[in-house]
Amino acid sequence: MTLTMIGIFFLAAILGMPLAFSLGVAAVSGILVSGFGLNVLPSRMMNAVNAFPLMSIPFFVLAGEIMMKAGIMQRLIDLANAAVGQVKGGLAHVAMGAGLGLSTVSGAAVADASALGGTLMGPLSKYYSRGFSAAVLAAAANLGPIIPPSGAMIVYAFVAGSTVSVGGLFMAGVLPGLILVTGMMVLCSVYAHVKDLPRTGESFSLRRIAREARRSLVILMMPVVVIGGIVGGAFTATEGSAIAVVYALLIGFFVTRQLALKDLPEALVNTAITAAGVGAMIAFASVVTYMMTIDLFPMQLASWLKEVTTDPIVFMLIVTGVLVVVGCFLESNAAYVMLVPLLHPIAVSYGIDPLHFGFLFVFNLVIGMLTPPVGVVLFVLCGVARIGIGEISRAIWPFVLLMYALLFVCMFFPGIVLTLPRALGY
Amino acid sequence: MAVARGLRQPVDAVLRVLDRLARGVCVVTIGGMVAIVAAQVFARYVLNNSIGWADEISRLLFVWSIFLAIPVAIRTGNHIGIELLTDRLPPRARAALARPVTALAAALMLLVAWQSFAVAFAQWDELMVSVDLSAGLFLLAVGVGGLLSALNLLRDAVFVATGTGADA
Repeated sequence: MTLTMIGIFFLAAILGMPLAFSLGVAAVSGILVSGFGLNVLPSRMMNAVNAFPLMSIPFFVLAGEIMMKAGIMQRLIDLANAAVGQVKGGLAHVAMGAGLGLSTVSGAAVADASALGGTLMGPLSKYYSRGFSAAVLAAAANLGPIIPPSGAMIVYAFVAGSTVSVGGLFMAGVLPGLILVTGMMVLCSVYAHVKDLPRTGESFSLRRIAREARRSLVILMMPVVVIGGIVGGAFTATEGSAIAVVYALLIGFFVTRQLALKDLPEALVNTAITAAGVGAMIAFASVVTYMMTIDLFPMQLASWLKEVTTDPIVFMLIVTGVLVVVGCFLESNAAYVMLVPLLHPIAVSYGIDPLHFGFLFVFNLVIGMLTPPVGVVLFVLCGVARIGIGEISRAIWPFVLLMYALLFVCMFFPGIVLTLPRALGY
Repeated sequence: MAVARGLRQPVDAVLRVLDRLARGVCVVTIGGMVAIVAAQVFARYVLNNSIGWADEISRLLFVWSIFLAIPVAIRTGNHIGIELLTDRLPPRARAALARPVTALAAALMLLVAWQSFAVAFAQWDELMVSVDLSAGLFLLAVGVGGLLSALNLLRDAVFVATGTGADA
C-alpha cells in the first residue's frame, strides 16, 4: 500500500497536479486499497493543522509582510551598505548583509526572498547580470530558516516530539549560519574579482556605520526580544512569533511611520495564502503518513536500514541522499510532516544526537529550496527578476555547492552544530 | 460547449463573491489569532492571569484560516506543482492533460468536503473543552474550504484548464 501511494503521488505530481492535491490523491488511494473508511480523511487533515506550534508559520510570514510594508528593509540595507558596500562587488555583500539581518527577525526563506527581491533586485541588476543578482538574493534569503528564528525548525521540533527542543535547534543553527554567510561573501568576492565588478558604495566611515546602526537599533533589538524570549523560556515559539508581529506593527506605526491601517488586510490575506499552501500539504501529508504507519512501513524501513548499515555516518549519508531527492519533489514543510516521524526515531536509535540530526535535516531541505524543479525560493526570485528558472539555476550552483559542502562539514564535525546549544544547557 | 460558455460569466461572478467572503474570513481569523496569542502573553506577565479559552479558540481560528485560504490560493495559483513535464508539451496537449488532472483534484476536494460535513454533523452535539461551542466547528472549516476548493477547481477544469489553477 505504501508503494502504491508513493507511485500515485509521483504520477499525479509529474502530470502537473499541485503537490498538495497529489498527496491527497495518494492518501485516498491508500485508504481505498486498505479498505479503511474514508472518514479518517477529514479528522486526520484537521488534526494535522489543529496545532498551536504550527501557528508560528503564519505569524512569522505576517511579521515579514508587515516589516516590508513598514520600510524596515531600507534601514537594514542602509546599515549593510555602510558596513560592506564599498568593496568590489559591494552590492552583493550588501545583499548578504541585509539577508543576515533579515534572517534574525524572520523565519521563512520564501518571505525573505520576496522582501530581498522587492527591495534589492533593482539596485543589483543595475550593475550585475539579472541571473547573478537573483542568485545572490536567493542564497541570502536561504539564511532565513537556518539562523533563528526559523519556521522550519519549529515545524521540525513539533513533529519530532519531546526529544528536540525548539530553543536548542535555534541555537544549533547560529554558528553554521554565520559560517555560511561568511563563505557566501567570500564567493561573491571571488566572483567580483574574476568578473571585475565595479565599486558602488561610498567610502568606509565608522561614523556612518554608527549612525546607521543607531537608526537600525530598534530593528536589531527585535531578535533579542523574540529569540531571547523563546530561548530563555519566557514564552513559547508561537507566542514569540506573535510578539514579532506586534513588534513589527509598533515599528511600522510609531518608528518608521510608513505603515497604514489600510495595508493590513492585504498583509493578512497574503499571509493566509502562504500559510494555506503549506497547510494544505501538511494536512494531506499527514494522512499519507498515517496510512504508512498502518502499513507498518516505519518498522520495515527501520529494520531494512539496520540491515544495510549499523554505522551512524552511513545512515546520515543515506538520509542526505534521500532528502536531496525528496527536496526536489516536496515542499519542505510537507517533507517534515512525512519524513521526520519516520527517520527521527531511527536516527536516535543509531545514537545520533537529536539536535545534530535535526539541524542537518533542516539544512538539507533548506538547500532543496534552491534547487529546481521545486525550488520555492528560486520561483519567487524568478518572478521578481522576470527571468526563467534556467537562468537563475546557472548562477545559483556555486552557492548550492557551498551549502552542501558546509552540510558535510557539519555532519562530520558535530561540534560546529552542538557547541552553542550545549553551552546554553540544551 | 456553447452552454458551458454561456455559464462562464455567472459562475465566475458567484465564485468571485465567495472568494471575497473567504478573504474576509482570512483577515478576521489571522488578525484574531495574533490578538489572542499576544493578549495571552500580556495577561500572563502583566495581569498574572491567563485566558482559559485562548489556546482552543486561537487553534479554531487557525484551522479556519488555513482551510478557507486553500481555495483563495487556488485562484491566485499559489499551490506549487511540478511543471517540468507540462511546460514542454504543446499548448493543445497541455490543456488536454490539465482538464482531467484538475477535474481529479476537484473530485478529491469534493470527497474531502462530503466526508468533513458528514463527520462534523455527526459530532455536532459535542462541545469544545473551554467554551460552549460545538466541536464540529473545527471540521466544518475543512468542509467549507473543501467545497470552495472543489468549485474553483471544477471551474478551472471546465473553462480554463491551465493545470495550475491560476486565474485566467
